[in-house]
Amino acid sequence: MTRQPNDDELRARFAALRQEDSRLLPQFRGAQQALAATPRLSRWVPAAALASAAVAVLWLAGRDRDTSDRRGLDLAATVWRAPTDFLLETPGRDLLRQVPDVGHVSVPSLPNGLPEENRGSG
Amino acid sequence: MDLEAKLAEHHGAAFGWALSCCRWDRHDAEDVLQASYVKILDGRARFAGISSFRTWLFGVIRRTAAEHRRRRALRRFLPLSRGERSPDSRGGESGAERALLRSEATERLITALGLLPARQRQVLHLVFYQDLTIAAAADVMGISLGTARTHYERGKRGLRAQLKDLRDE
Repeated sequence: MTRQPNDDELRARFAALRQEDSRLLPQFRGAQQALAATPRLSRWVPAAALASAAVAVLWLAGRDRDTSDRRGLDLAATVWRAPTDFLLETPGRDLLRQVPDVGHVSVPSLPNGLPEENRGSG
Repeated sequence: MDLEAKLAEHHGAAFGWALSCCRWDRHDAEDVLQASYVKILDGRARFAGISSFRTWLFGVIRRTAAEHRRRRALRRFLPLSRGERSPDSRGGESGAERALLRSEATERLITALGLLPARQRQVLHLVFYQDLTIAAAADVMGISLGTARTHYERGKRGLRAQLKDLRDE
């Protein structure tokens, strides 16, 4: 790898950083200490996973029951009345619905099919 | 040489790499390093001898740091582990503490590195801080040599520009 002149400046900066980092270096612990000091996987993680799964199952079960209830509903048999239906109940509505009765008219029938005055005189 | 002795030998370099993976948060770096050692010592991470021990160790630390970040992000949404302290409560290295520990020039370098994309920051650290070749850095990062070279060149350009901007401010 060839070094460019500019790289030396970067290299010097990183060297200074390495020197400062070395002051922060923690002591190397032995294997037993390292294993003992490591935080184990939190007990809450499996518990939370289990609880999430239970919630999901309950939610899915609830959703299925809702849809089955809706399937059992017979829409043809239901009657819905609007709260403003009473406005359509006008006074005298029954009279308007009926055909008016104007009495009985009798028409006399003639023996030859036509009345006397309508017969031709020749 | 047994595993523990090898880890002790690379402890300094491993801590520097852990710091870089954790954006120079000392407490996070210590946690990540400890978790990586445990992974290695209890056999969850095994050295197959394909690369050098150092390169392999750095790869383990990189993956452990990524897991650590993901777990922390998850913890923000799920307050599961009340026993664990938050970064704020344990006094993450910042402000006054950092000012005491770091020189102005180094502080500026850390800030400039923090503004770079993770891959660029990592490759620059591995090459300039750890004195690895770009090929070894590519191994640690799990990317191809060509990709590592691209990140290296862009990273250098970006870092110089950031350092210049920070100097001008």
